[in-house]
Amino acid sequence: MAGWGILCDDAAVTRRAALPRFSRSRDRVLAGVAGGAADRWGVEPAVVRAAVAVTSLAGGLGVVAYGLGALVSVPPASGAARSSPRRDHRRELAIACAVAAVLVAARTVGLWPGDEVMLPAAAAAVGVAVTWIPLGTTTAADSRRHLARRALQLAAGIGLLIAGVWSLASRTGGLASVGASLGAIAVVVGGLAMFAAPALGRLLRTLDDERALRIREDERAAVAAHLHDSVLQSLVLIQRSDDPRRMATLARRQERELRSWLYGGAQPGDPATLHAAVAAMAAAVESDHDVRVEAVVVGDQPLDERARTLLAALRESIVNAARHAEVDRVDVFVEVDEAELTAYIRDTGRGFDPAAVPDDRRGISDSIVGRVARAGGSTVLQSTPGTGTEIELRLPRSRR
Amino acid sequence: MTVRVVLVEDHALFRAGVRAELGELAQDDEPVPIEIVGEAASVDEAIEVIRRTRPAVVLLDVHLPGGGGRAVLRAFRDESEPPRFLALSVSDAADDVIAIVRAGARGYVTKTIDAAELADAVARVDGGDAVFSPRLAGFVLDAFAGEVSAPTDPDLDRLTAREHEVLRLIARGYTYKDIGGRLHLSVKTIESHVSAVLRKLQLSNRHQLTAWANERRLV
Repeated sequence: MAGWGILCDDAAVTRRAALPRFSRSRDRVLAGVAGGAADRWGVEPAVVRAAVAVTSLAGGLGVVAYGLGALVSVPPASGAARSSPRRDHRRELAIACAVAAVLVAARTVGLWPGDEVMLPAAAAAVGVAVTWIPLGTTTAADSRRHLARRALQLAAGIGLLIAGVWSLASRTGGLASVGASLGAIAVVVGGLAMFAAPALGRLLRTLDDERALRIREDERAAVAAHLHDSVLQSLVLIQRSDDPRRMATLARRQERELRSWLYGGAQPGDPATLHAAVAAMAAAVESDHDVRVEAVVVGDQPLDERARTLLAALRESIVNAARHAEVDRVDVFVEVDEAELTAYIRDTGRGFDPAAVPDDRRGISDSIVGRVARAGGSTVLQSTPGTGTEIELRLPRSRR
Repeated sequence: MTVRVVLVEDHALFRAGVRAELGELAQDDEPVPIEIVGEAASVDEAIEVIRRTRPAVVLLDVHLPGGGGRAVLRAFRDESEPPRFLALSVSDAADDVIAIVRAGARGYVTKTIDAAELADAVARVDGGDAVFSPRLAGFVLDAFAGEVSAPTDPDLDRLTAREHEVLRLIARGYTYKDIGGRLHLSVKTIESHVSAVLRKLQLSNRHQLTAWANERRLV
């Protein structure tokens, strides 16, 4: 009984700080009276609780004594009540004991309509109680077990209730008339149902239709709102623009947006993975720099520090290609494997001689090579004037 | 010899666009031997038009009223000499693409493809080759992620090291010709590697592919 050991320690602490007056215990089952009395007398709370329970069930004296104790004692010293997951059950058990004690007392004193009435009534009451005991919140994982327990609980509760009521009715001799009345009621209800069924059916169908219509209407409104904010706006911009390149850019951005909306690729807020971040970055560079970015990503990982570094260097490489290569398309390939992140940025444009780049042009050495090197990676740049450029970025993956 | 093509696509505007672009190409100095012999906007219409015109290549939209592009592929699965199908879609979703290729399409291109690339893709499909866009190569690498089999191992569930290399180069944006130059192989060899990958994609039991197929009730 480890639980009792903990309770005893608690009681000892309270005892040292005991006031002269009888104070209820914070370590309580019902009101803390038994715990308080135990502190006062220096005995185990369990002993006092047992005594109260026994005297309550045998004659009801315990209930009277407990009530008196509650009246003469003072509330416990301030402080949060000890919270214990077992408290709830103990409390319910105590209340059940108290109710049982009151019943036993009533029976002893003579305030009793007779066992044949009270037992079925008790069964019915327990049935109702069982039906309504909450099972507590559950996670989705054990929802099936929860459902099964709930069904069992309902069945038990309703069974008890029906048994109680049935037995009560049969003992009071009213069952025969109840049967007859039930029959009459069934006939009337059945007749009414036949009479009203078509109308009722129509009503239900109308309600259903209305609901479906409302849902459709809501969906239509949502789609209309989205199209207005995106596609219509873009079409207006395209009409007003007389620069074909700008028109194409707008159309491309709109196409991407609409596609991610239609096929569920959209990410709310900032992208959380490298794949999504590359897609978003590619779309942004496309609309800012008038170039088609064909980004293919294989594998994925969360967007951590290394991935951000790669992303930044990747972006810089694409922007470089868009600015200087004189192409309308840049191919990007990103691969995530167990050990490293690899990215290739390729264009078939002008190309350049890496050795001939003047020292004051810091773009490639700082934003790409330096950035990747600081994170422990490497860069390979291949370019031939006239045939194009490919940059290869490699970064070891961070260990998790 | 002209390649006879049927265009299956539910948007009239897009059909008109493809027709116009391919026509424009034909007027250029490089004659592109493509003739569009029929158009269809739904599954049933497509089956009827293809049976009637007997094209060499069908440009097939993935999303089509009446069952999607796969319903068309299914209708011709058991024929002795079915036309070759090239899937065409705005969808970038991996499962859509993998599903249509597994159902028998010889390749997949996105609708953003330009006319010259499309004409080239049609000609290659007509020649019996598989057409891998960089995106499709990426999807396939994803689906076959993991170990690479030995060159002599005909394991369907793995790619050989060479096939893996070729796919990665396609994903990086290289053409078959570029890849051949880089790997010191002929274009024909590259094409046979790509066709082998397509076959593996269509026959593999690999669990990602099976999962995709199950989801779409393909099996």
